[in-house]
Amino acid sequence: MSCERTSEIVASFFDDALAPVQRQANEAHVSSCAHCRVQLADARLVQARLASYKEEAVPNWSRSAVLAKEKPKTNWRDWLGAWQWAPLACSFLLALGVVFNVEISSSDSGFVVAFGQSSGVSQQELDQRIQKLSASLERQQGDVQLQMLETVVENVMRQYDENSSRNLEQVIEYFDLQRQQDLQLLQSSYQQLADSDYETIRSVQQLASYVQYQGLE
Amino acid sequence: MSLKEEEQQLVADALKGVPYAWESLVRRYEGRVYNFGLRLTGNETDAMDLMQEVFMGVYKNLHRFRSESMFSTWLFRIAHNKAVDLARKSKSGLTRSLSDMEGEDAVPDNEAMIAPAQEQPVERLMQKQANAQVRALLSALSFESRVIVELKVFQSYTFDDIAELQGLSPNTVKTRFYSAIRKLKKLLESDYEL
Repeated sequence: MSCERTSEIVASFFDDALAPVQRQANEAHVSSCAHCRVQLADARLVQARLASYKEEAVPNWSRSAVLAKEKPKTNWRDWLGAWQWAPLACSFLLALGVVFNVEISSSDSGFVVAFGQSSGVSQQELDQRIQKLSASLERQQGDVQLQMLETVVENVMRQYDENSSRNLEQVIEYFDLQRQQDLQLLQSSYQQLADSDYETIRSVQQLASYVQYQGLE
Repeated sequence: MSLKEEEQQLVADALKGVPYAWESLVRRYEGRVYNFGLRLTGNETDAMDLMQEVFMGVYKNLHRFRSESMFSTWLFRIAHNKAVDLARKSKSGLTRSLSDMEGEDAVPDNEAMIAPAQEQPVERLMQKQANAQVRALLSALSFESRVIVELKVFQSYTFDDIAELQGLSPNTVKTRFYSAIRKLKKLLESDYEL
């Protein structure tokens, strides 16, 4: 003979905060379940025996001994209450910084904290860094100039209308013509120079013939 | 000022190092904690050790107490954890069963308790014996079951609270509690006529 509700029924018997509705339901079940009825009677006996226990007096002991052994930690509110020490702490840190000659500098890789003398960067390394920095700056300037030129040309092109474009074509034609004339002038000069050289060669040939003739005589 | 507010004030004062505040808190709960230990350990020495451990833990962690909960609830959570720690450390004390005590007096520390009998009134002596019998009964249970009975019967915890404290489901706690009650009933009927 057993009942699957027995553990719940017995547990509920010890539950002072049981809702009245639940208590009535349990009582209804117990009235119709012999197993639960027996178990509940046993539980009442056990409860009565356990209830016979009365609290015993605590033997004498040193309640403040705990205080001597342990210190309670302060909570964060108390810690915040210590803010008035902050200026003194900052001053102390600054004084330490001065005494130990602390130097904080920034670089590409982050911050560098040095104590005592300044950080041991050699002159050669310094020059290399400067050169790298200069090259980078020049590249940036070149890019900027190119961008500026492109911008100026775009602006000029936008400002000129169609007639201006024609004028520009005429100017270009004029320059082409001038260049062709220059080329022709240059060609004629070379021709004159060549003719002159030819005459000189002929004169030299005549002179040579004359000399040869005189020698035969 | 309500009990809760009063205890919050005592906690705040104790944190500031006011000895009176701490002693007031201890006096309020030392009886409950001592008897909690007495029923769990079955002897006065271990109960005293446990009580001192509990108040040491309370004092150390006083700054963590949040006023949302009752101080007693928070304190007994520490007491429960300390008892579990003590049970793990000391197999001879908290986990001792009646079968382990065969050959000894079935009522532990009974003689020590009634030693100054001539000086005590009869009622007080009888009460001491009744208490000792209850402690002997509880000693027959496993430590886990003993804690459940202690929290339910003597500390009036709900099954949900016990379940949360022990990391079990409420149904598991009820089942273990019922098993403990059955075992206690059998002990009452057995050779240990208490």
